[in-house]
Amino acid sequence: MSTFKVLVCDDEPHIVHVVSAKLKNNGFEVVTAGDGEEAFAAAKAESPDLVITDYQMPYLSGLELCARLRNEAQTSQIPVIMLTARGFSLGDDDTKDTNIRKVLPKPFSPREVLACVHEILGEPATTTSSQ
Amino acid sequence: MSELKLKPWQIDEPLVDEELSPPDKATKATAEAAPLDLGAAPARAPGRVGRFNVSMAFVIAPVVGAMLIVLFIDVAPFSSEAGVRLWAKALAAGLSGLGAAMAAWNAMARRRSMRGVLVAMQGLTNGNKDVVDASSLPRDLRPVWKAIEAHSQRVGEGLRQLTDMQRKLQLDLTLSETNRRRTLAVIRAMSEPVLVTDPFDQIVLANPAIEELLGFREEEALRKNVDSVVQDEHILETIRETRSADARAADRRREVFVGDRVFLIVTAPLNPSQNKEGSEGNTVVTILRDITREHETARKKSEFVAHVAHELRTPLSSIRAYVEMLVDGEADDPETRKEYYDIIQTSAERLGRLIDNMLNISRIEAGTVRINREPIGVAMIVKEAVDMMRPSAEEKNIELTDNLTPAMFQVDADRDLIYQAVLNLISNAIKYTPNEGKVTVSTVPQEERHRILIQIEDTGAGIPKEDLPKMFEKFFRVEANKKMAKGTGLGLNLVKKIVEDVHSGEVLLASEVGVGSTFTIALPVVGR
Repeated sequence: MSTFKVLVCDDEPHIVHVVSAKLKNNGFEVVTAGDGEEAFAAAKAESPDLVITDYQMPYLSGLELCARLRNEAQTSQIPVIMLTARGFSLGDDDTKDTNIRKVLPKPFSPREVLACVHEILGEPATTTSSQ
Repeated sequence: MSELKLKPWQIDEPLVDEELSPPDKATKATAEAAPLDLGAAPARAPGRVGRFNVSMAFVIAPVVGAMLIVLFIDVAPFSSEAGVRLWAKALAAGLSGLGAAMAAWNAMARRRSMRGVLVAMQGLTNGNKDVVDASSLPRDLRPVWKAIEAHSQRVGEGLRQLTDMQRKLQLDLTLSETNRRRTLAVIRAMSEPVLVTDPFDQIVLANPAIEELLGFREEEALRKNVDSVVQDEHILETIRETRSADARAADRRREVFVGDRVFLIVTAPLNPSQNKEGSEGNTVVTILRDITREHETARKKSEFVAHVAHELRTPLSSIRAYVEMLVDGEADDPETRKEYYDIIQTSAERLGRLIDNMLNISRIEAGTVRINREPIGVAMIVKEAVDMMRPSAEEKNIELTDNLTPAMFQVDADRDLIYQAVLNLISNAIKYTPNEGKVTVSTVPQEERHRILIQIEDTGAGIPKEDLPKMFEKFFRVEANKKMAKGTGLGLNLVKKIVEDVHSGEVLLASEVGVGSTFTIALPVVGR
């Protein structure tokens, strides 16, 4: 039984740490990145089932990361959950042409993140298909 | 008697001899001349005789001009008609002579009177009333003269009033012309662009500020339709709305962007009450109010709020997430729990620092910060800050040294604020210096400039040249160095405010990427 692999990306190490812990505790495999560039590289190398990323990051913002992922054949289908500390400035227009399936405003609840992951990927124990 | 064949009221032939005075001609001439030449005696005295009834004949004798005298003659004493005729002839001649004499005298008297009135009138005209003594005038002309004099007095009075009025009007005119010029000068000198258009949308005034802003010349634009001079649709629409009867529509707030400046279009109808009835509309005064700064302030403010919200949310996110993890029992072992507690504590402290910094900055900006100035030794404060930061330096194996002059240099300053500023700089130096680096804190007196320098020098990451001018801006952080340490982007802004705004000092910065940075606080010293 294979598990889902989730890429978690945030420039705040505490956020990466806590989201990773929540997902690992619930049976997910986690890959982490500290900024958009790192995340893009990791997405190509690891082919995760889902990306959870912060919106405001140095070098490459969350939205730019989403655009890059979508433009790359290998990563173009990966769904994204976006965490943002400025949720008010992220409208439907911003997320329309991306794979963003959910936008969670900060401060967020790890419980809620987990619920979203389940909603998008399904329960790890019951679904085995990936990609 | 019976020989007198004349019938009653039958006019006989003229009495006068043909050779002396041709009849009709003379009468006619006299009658014609009469109105023109009142005093002229009739040239001859023609007369006519006729029979009134059996016992009475009559003589008609012209006296003066067209005046005739009719005399009745009793024919009884006369024996023949020739006698009556002779008598009548003599009578008519006498009467005519008397008339002529009277007329001549009369004419002379009238001429004299007229001359008197003429002289008097001339005197009046020349403004010399004393020339004429009313009593010297003929009696019949005195009331006339009195009336003329009264009238002349009234005319004179009226004339004086008119002259006064004219003088006043002239003064008013000069005054209003002066006012007009002054008002025009004020409008021209205004830094706010002003445009005045008449009810037909023609430009009647444009001051140099609007000439410069919209790029046209007043002398070329005058009397031209505003549409052909001004392109901006917002301005034109606002003018049209204000010009039309429904001036209230112009209350709408419209802005116009010209280059990098923003203007609020303010219009007002000129004397709107005067045009209430007319359908043609109002003369419109348009003023463009430069609100670039307000715009910028509003933009910065909302940017600031967004920044603050973001900065506050980040540690708050950590606190909330880790607390939830603990509550949900996601940390079974004590070590993980300890880790979570520590993160929560660090985040809470960060939140507290952020709020403190923000409050301090805004208090200094608003001028409401409480400042306790006292003479304090600079070296002592710096030493305290260095000691405070020593554990952090040791954690990264950074060599933190102080190179302080004796405490004789005193500054008139707020102890806590200066301590905070120095601490921020040392903390930054340690944060952005890699492990095993060096941070040196020194105080250097600059006696010739009556100030003391506090220098914090590191062997850290350094700051790119293009970022140097922005280093003290709120929330600015060097992108490349963000990953080295957490920061709010408020610390340096606070340092600058404490040193420059509160203590009239100066903060200096020198840096080179990959080599290190030196931050310097310069404070004026008090007498030694």
